Amino acid sequence: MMTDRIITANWLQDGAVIWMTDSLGWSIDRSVAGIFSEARFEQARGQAVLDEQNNLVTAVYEIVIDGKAEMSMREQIRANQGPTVAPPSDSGPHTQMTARK
Amino acid sequence: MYVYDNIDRTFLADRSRQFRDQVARRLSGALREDEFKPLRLQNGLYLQLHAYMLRVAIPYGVLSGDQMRGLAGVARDFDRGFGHFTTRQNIQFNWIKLVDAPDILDRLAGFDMHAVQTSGNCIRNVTSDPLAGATPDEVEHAHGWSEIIRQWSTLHPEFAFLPRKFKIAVSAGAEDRAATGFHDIGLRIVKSRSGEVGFRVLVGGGQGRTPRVAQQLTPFLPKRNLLSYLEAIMRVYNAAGRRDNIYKARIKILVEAMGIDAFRDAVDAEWVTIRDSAVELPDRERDRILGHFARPTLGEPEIAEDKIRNQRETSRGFDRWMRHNILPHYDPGYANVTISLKQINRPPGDASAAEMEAIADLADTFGQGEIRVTYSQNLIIPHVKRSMLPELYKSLSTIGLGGGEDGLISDMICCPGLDYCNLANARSLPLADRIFEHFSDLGMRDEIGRLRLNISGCINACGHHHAADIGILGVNKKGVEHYQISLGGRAGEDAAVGSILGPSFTEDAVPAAIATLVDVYLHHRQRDENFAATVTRLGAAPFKRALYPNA
Repeated sequence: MMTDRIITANWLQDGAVIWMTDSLGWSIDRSVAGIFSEARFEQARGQAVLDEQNNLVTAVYEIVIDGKAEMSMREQIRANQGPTVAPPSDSGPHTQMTARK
Repeated sequence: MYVYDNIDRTFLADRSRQFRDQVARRLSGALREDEFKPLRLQNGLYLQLHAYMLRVAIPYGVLSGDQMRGLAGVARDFDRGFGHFTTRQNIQFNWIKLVDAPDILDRLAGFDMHAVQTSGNCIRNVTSDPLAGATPDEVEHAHGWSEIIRQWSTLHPEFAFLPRKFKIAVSAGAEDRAATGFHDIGLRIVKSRSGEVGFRVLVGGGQGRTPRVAQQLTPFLPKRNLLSYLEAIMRVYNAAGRRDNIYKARIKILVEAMGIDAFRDAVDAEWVTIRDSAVELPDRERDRILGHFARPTLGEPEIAEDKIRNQRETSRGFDRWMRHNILPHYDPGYANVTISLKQINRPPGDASAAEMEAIADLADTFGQGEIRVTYSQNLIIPHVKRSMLPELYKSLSTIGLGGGEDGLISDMICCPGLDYCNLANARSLPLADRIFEHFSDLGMRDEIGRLRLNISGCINACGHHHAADIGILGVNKKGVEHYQISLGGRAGEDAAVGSILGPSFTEDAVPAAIATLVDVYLHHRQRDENFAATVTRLGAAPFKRALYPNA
């Protein structure tokens, strides 16, 4: 069975959650994450390891696309770049904010 | 409160410079992540779900108004404009950039704060009674001794690489408001029959996957021997604590494996070698530190009770706030005021920068310029004149913080859960919100009365679910968030670990399940019995039957 995978990490400098794109760069936009087939995965992972060694990224891991792992609550929250509940803010009484559920 | 001197400030400046260099070396690649990680952790910097998270130490939960304003500035200038107060009386910022971390530590040092030892396998921030020095029920001010322990344990070279993290709590009240029974070492300041003040020492408490209530190591330790005795405990743990298995590395496992008597023998054998030696704090230094914790000079209280009574009759909100959020002060003309950080649509313990600044101003105006962070993730302004309570309530209400929820079902302790944390299995914040919404009726919350409901998003138990009347633990069941419910835990004098009632529930089913437990209580309670007392009297069986009728 062929396995497709995506690769994710954090930028070393600011910690932001990022995904490896199809062109083996990185993006904070989950929707442009490259989906790497078995054939391309080694090359993609090699680039990720290199980027980690070159102190660009940290905490690299891969996610198998199986309809579950990449859809887990954890990965959805990472992809949304924030919590599912609104934190309080200076811009007004927090009670008027709508929770992003 | 303790005020830094030049030695303290030089120390922090050095530490900050060191970390700046470490970060620069990490960014240049001179330090690899595995080399850098223990260094950043010992400065409170984690890599969490969304970004780096910085945990700033608030020693025993005490902040000056200026420090609170300083933290608000950090939240606004380096983060997303809010902070999260934790059960360990610290504050966390969730969106920190590694490149900014050195500047943040410099900023913190500028108002005498830091993030030293808020993570890593070392002695963590000492926690204590948030009412210390302001309550009628204490033997002595617990914060002076907390400060002594803080100074002793900060960068203690022998205890920088312990088998695992180590938490010490100090409490001096008749009521234990620091959960000493759930700490690696719990210190209760007590008075002996002859009137001498010393410490009752507990050891081996903790939560996580192996929850244990601490056991008594000694009923009375003379004050002058505190540091040598602590040092002896730490040495036994450092030498014999397990380092091969992270899940068995805490002192609670060692104490259990050895048995409390053998552990005590080992501590005593170590102690005789250092007791009354140079390890003990010199009297002059002790007096210097304790001198910072003298009672404030309070003005003559004004006649207030008529004014308060009238106000309570006309304002239901003020009446609730008075009933739940006002804690007794040693001077009957004064009060300690809880500011509840529990509301619908507010993650428990979160406060925006503007709110933090406003609270600092209120502490300056109505108190003594001091704010306390509580174990239950609220804030306290101590030393408020009772005659000023109506005005303080009005000011708090203006900024949306006039809620009277202290100790109620709505006063949930809650970890950040999967919304922020790398370790979590399930979210805790939206669940807290849904439970609050389920009990949105004020009258209902008042009717239920005191009930501690705590939520943890994983077995590490940062939300203290083991120590709650009703504890909720998030688990991941085949990829779906589920929640296990336990009953009968408590954190105070009679500390106990709650017991799991049965199979877990989906998020949707939890609020109704909690309501079922509450209904059993309301149905069976006698007179003024609170939830905990009813559970003690009846046991878990009727609650279990109601929750799992088909079991």
